[in-house]
Amino acid sequence: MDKKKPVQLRPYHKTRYNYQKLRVCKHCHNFTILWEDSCAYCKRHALVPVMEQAEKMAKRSMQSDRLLFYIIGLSAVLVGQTFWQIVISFACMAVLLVLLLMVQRRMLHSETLHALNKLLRTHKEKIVHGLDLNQSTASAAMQEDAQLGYEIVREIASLVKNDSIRLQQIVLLQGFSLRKDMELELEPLLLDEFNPDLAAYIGEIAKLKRELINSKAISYLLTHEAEILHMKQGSQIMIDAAGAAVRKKNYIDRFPDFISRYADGLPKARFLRLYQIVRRNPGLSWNGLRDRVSAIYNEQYRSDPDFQKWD
Amino acid sequence: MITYGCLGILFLFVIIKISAYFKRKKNAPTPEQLHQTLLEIANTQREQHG
Repeated sequence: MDKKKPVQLRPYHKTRYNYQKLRVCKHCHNFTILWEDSCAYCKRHALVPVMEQAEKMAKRSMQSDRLLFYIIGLSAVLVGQTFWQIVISFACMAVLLVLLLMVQRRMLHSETLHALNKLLRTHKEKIVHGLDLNQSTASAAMQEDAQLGYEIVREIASLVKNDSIRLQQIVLLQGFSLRKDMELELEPLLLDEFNPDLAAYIGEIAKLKRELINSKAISYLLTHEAEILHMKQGSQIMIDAAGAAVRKKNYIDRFPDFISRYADGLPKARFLRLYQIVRRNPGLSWNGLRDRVSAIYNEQYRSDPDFQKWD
Repeated sequence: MITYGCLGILFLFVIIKISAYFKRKKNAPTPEQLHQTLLEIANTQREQHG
């Protein structure tokens, strides 16, 4: 009986740098990676992106420099004893101010990066505390709405990289009815240890999004092959993964034994793909894979018209 | 004379500030470094907190 819940996940906006998602409360300096409108700590609508806050800090520092400039410049004007001294002071001030403004404008970006670096380094504790609050929000959401819980955990996972977060994502994903059109990922979710939910998830991905089955995913399956084969659907997971792996010759080159072990369980379309690659590369034996493919072909597909044009 | 002294200080101030800006620009952290810094804060600190 399939207890999986059909869901429509909201689109996930990937950013180039993780700090582009981080926001800070202007009032209490609490940090958040989530999309909430008000600060979870002080409840005020004062959340701004950290980059915006850093730019504000950089501009404030530049303003302080200009303030000191005005104090020194106006002192020169005020102590001027003749008309010409006052005129010269104003003229020098104007020229130097334009120069200073031009340089400050040009340097705003690098000063913002410095300010952001300072903001992050001086608020380490607050950032960690903010992420803890985000995780509490995720835990609370998971109790009521698994989909919202997953979306929150997915956001936190862009910053927090540990097996506990990955495991939460995998368990939540296994509760959903997965579809091809979903934004799914696999490599960031791979764990070091064996986990049956992860193995089952890889099996589903192998059917839905073959392109996500890469060498790391195959290595994970091979490392935990014995445990996976003890699972109810274990051999099917391995067959589906082998079927996904034959899409690239590179994976056949790297994992010929793995593909050879599960070649006889491959569906016709996947076996045809493997057969085509084997036929195109007559000089390669792939540690016995070629013979295995020939044997399966002779047993099952010799008279199949789809295979005839490759004979 | 004091006026010219103040103007001299003003020139010096602007030159020092501009030099400082250029020097800071050279040493500015790259977005990739900031990305890494935040990752370290979010993960290393959390491990310490247990």
